[in-house]
Amino acid sequence: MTYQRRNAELRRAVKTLVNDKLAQGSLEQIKLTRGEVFIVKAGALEHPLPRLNNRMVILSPFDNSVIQRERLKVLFDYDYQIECYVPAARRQYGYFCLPLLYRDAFVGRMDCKAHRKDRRLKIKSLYFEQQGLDEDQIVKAFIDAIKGFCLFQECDSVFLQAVYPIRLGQGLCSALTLSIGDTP
Amino acid sequence: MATIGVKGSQELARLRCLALVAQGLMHAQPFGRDCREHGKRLTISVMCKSILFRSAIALSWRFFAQGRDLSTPQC
Repeated sequence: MTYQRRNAELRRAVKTLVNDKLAQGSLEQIKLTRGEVFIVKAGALEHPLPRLNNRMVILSPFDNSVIQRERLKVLFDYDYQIECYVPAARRQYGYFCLPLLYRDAFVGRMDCKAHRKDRRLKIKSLYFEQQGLDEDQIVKAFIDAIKGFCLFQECDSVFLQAVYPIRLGQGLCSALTLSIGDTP
Repeated sequence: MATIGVKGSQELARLRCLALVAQGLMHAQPFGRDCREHGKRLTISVMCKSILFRSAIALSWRFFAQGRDLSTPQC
């Protein structure tokens, strides 16, 4: 709640409030098997949850859900860092990678650049990382997401430079050609 | 204060969902939060229900009031 807030007074006040609510029982602590502690509204884990959506969401690198790197690692097993501040030689995924959320998992990331003059979206690298998910479903969800993304970026075509795992490349290229209407 | 230990992957999955719901991403529209969209849908739904409810009241009023003189008390 007070992540990256430097106001010590505010941090203290929030801590006191949270402790009070924990003592009252309106909040409860959830301890994960690895030892990390999360605080949630009492009984929140028992409530029915919304139905999972099969759409893929291309997130901003500054989205609130990804700014806390440690929490993201613990909860989602997803190590994400925007690398525009990382020296080029040390970059692992690319200058401006965008996280990809599918259902309740971060399944990959995409480094891309919109060439506004040519109305062309260049996907410099696309990574799908989660094992055990249906690849066809993920590819389909990605194609749907990228169509919307192109509209949003005012691009008429997509150029896919690299995809990992490589086996997904051909399927993705042909699907993108059919969907967006240009030769990747 | 009580601490609940999360044992299974099911609970972890629920915790993930809670985290995504808290960020407005569970029913997210692409490239953003769905709050505005959801709000629009909710408003339209409430408006439709309200119009339907009013129409039903008006129709039933007309139906039951037919042939009666509403200006005088009924016996």
